[in-house]
Amino acid sequence: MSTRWSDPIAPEDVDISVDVAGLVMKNPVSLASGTAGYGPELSHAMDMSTLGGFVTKGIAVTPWEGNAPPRIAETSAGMLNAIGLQNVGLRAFLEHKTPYLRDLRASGVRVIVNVIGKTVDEYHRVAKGLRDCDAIDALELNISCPNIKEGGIAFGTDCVAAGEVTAATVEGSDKPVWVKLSPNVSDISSMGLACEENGAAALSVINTLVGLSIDLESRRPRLSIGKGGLSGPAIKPVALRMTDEVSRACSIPVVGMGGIWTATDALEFMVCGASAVQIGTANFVNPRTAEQVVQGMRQWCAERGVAKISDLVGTLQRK
Amino acid sequence: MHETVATVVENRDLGSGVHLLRLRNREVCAEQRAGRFVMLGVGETVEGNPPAPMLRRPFSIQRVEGDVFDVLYRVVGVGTTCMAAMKRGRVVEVLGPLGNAFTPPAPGEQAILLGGGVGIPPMVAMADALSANNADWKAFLGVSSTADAGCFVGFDDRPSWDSRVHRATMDGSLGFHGHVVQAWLADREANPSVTKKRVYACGPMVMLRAVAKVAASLNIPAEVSVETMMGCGIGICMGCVIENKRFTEGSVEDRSTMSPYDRWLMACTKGPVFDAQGIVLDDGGLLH
Repeated sequence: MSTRWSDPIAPEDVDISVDVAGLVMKNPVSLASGTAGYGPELSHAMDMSTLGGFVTKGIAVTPWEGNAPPRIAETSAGMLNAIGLQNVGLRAFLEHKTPYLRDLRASGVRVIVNVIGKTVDEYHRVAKGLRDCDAIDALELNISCPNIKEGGIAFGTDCVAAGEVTAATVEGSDKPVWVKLSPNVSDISSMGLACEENGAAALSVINTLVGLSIDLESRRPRLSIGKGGLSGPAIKPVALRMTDEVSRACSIPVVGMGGIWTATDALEFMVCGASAVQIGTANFVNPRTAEQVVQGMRQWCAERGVAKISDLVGTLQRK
Repeated sequence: MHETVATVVENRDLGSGVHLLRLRNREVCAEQRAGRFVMLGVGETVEGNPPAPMLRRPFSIQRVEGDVFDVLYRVVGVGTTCMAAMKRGRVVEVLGPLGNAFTPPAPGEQAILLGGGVGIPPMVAMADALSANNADWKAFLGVSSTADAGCFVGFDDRPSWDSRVHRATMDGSLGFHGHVVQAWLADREANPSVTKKRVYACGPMVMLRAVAKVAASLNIPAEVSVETMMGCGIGICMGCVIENKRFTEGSVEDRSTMSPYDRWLMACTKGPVFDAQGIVLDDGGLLH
């Protein structure tokens, strides 16, 4: 695509559908894992059928408690969280959460299940448990979980472990497997390549950045477990840089996320190489953000004569 | 629940950093029940940018009059500092009403309302609801000293209630000298009655712990409204949890029906009103 735009076209004439490794989404915008529950929670505040996709709260093979409070703390243009992946577990997910998701999927929204685990085998078992489930389109692996067998080192900071967990999940699943990369590494592209070599269909870039917020008077961390994951607009420049790097280093599609608040933010991620985007923290502040971003992206394309939104992907101009 | 906006009608300075914010929105008022709350967008917004501060802030709805609802707040941080600067006519983003509500007393039961400081608002909402139903109630309200008496505004604005309302201060500068639970117990001693009671309370965790303990010893059912660090108000951030006592201390039968997922309850969707004996009344001491 050239740097010049064409004459404006009608908004309804813009094709805003995207293709993420064969998974066609009616628009590029999904809700990110852990920021939208299992679906019904947000359905009272927004029209869920306007979404391109929906990514569930992480699911483990057994229910997890999560951490003691305080679990969240606001920071400048962002927030820290240490929820601890509290989740209902695979069995309750299949029994109680899939009926809503099946309806959501029938309304044209792609449903992606985020998968968590403490061992390679746990990821594999969730993938197997979700085989043949007709309520979902793809899996997204959260590899920022501590690997208890490896002494608590996150899968997401070790290329070999990330590759192993990807391969085991791909082997257990009948669905495309996306891997959500951690930004807490020195070379995120090599992590992406390790996942690609082991069968990942796409890469979600990025998860939260590890941070710390303290209360000076008590000299204690604001979160019960100390550190937490930073999200929100504060991390957008990091996320854009990593989206650009990973999308150039890897040949599988990248789904971009990190601090998206507006259509402009979302389009910037696409220009930097993201085939689709996810919205997270903004849902907490304005549950209608995703709807508004979709509209805004369509409008932006129409005004500049961009007939197909996917033509923008990876068009960052480098002098 | 509505994702909407409300207009500031009044932002009354009640002294010592305590303010009464009155907001106009018909839909929110129509769905209010005593105990519910709203998330308010309090930050300054420039189009295309996130507000600062970013997260909305939770406030109990104190009173509904027509299409105006009131929230009471104390300036404690950047969010409430922004609120204190709000002028009449300002448009505020509102999500709500949210959460559950207090269980009304059974016929013949007397409601005992216990409110501490900026935890008094849900007790105003209860007093309004009980009065509208001609139910029997008494309120015991406490602040640290007369300087904080602005917290009583919802009761001060109803002089006809005065015979039912007992005010207390920790330093004795106004009304009963002591905390609200002491004021309630002193009144029980002075005016014994056989009427069945039901307790409703909101205030600092230390007060709610005392309420739960006393109510348990007197075998009186009690509901408490808790404040926790809340991110979204609708059950998606999972930040605002409080510990489920049935999980940690429950019977074998109780525990057999629960999974580890049930240990932490979201105050926004499972609460903010809980059975006082059903949760661990501890906020980790880091709320503000």
